[in-house]
Amino acid sequence: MLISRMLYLAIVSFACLCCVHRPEQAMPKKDINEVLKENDKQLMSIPGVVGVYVGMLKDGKTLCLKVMVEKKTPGLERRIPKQLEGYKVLIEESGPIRPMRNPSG
Amino acid sequence: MNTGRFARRTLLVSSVMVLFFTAFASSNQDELPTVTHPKVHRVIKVQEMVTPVLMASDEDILGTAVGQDDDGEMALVVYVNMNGKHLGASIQRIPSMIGGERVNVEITEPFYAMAAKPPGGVSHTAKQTPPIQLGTSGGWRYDLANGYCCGGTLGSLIQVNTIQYIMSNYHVFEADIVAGGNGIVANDGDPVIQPGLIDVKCNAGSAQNVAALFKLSSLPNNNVDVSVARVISGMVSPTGSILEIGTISASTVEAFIGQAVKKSGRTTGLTSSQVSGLNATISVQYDNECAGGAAFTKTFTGQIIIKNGVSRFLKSGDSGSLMVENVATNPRAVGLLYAGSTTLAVANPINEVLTFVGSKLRGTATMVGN
Repeated sequence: MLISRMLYLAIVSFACLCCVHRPEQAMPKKDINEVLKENDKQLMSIPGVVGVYVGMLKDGKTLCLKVMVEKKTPGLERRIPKQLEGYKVLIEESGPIRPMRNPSG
Repeated sequence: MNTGRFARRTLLVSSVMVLFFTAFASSNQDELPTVTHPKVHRVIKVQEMVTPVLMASDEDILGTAVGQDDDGEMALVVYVNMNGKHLGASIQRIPSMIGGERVNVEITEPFYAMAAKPPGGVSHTAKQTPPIQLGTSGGWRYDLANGYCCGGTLGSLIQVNTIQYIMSNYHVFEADIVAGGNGIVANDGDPVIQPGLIDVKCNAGSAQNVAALFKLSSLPNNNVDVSVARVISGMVSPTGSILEIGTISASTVEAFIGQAVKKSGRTTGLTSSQVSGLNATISVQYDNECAGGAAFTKTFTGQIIIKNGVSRFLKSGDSGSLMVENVATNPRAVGLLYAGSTTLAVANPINEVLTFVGSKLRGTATMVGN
């Protein structure tokens, strides 16, 4: 009886250890360029948005999506998602984007 | 009894309000991230401990500071030399957390003492003695309308079927598409001048013809803002030399995030920065002539984004500049600069530009260089 109980505990512990130590099978993320392609039109249709691009977080290693806006507003912060398919989305106030030629009066 | 209940309720509400405002006031004071703020102080402690080790371990680590990360949390900032030989490896070696504090990486130019620039230096606006170098002021000879004249940069030299062309932007050479304020539009064969009208007080007589426009009409229907002008014999250095950069490579290179780049242009001269974004979709509004009305808004895709803090890298008049990798000799072309804001600049990927130009000129377009 005691041996059976100990055996049982050993099996349960081993199973639990397996569960604990089995590496998680994380779902592979979609390529960030694909995520951008699927979402850029919708983001660009938001008034005040002038661009979107693949950028990098300040850690210098993690890719993210950046949404360029003429001016950051609470309305835009509410409307633009904070993440898309696992990628962080950051709002960047760029101002309007213009051709860089120089008129002189 | 009612009076007593009312008094108790009033006291309760007042107490809550006092507590609320007290908490709000004190939290406002605590939020200022000064050096005495507990969160800042914590990062400083880690900074003091690790900075000597970090800087001794890698000559391309220029220093550290306390800053904020993308979530607004305090973080240790590590400055890495953008010109470092092993930039990528340097960045990868820096941990994301040190001593429990977040770490941000900031790629930067080396720090210099800000002494005043000595007199002399290279002018990107003066009329040159032929054969001229590129990276200089230039434009369409007739770019005068509505009380203004316009210009940009003669950025680089390309070659198609043994013929050399100055390359700049559509909106520098051929954007006058309505009779409008000056009664003319840009046409094949029109002179391209150096310097541009904006640097000769709008008087074309003070400039020199260096090339003849070959209209490509890249906009609004294509994904590049490019135009070319066929070189007039003897007027342009056949090596394609660019002011303050010299002769470039005939090869091109793809952009990557963090890539150190430089350019030579009419307004800001030789400047450097780094690529901060790829695959950008952006919207740019174009005029129909110099100081004219709106012509169209173009949405580009797949664009390169470059840091442009306080317009230090690219400013009005630099349009048409060639962006190359920031190396000392034979730099490879990365992109054609054409738009921006006070915080970022935008370039067409160079291979897309050359492919388009080649298709229009019925040959293979290559950069003129080594």
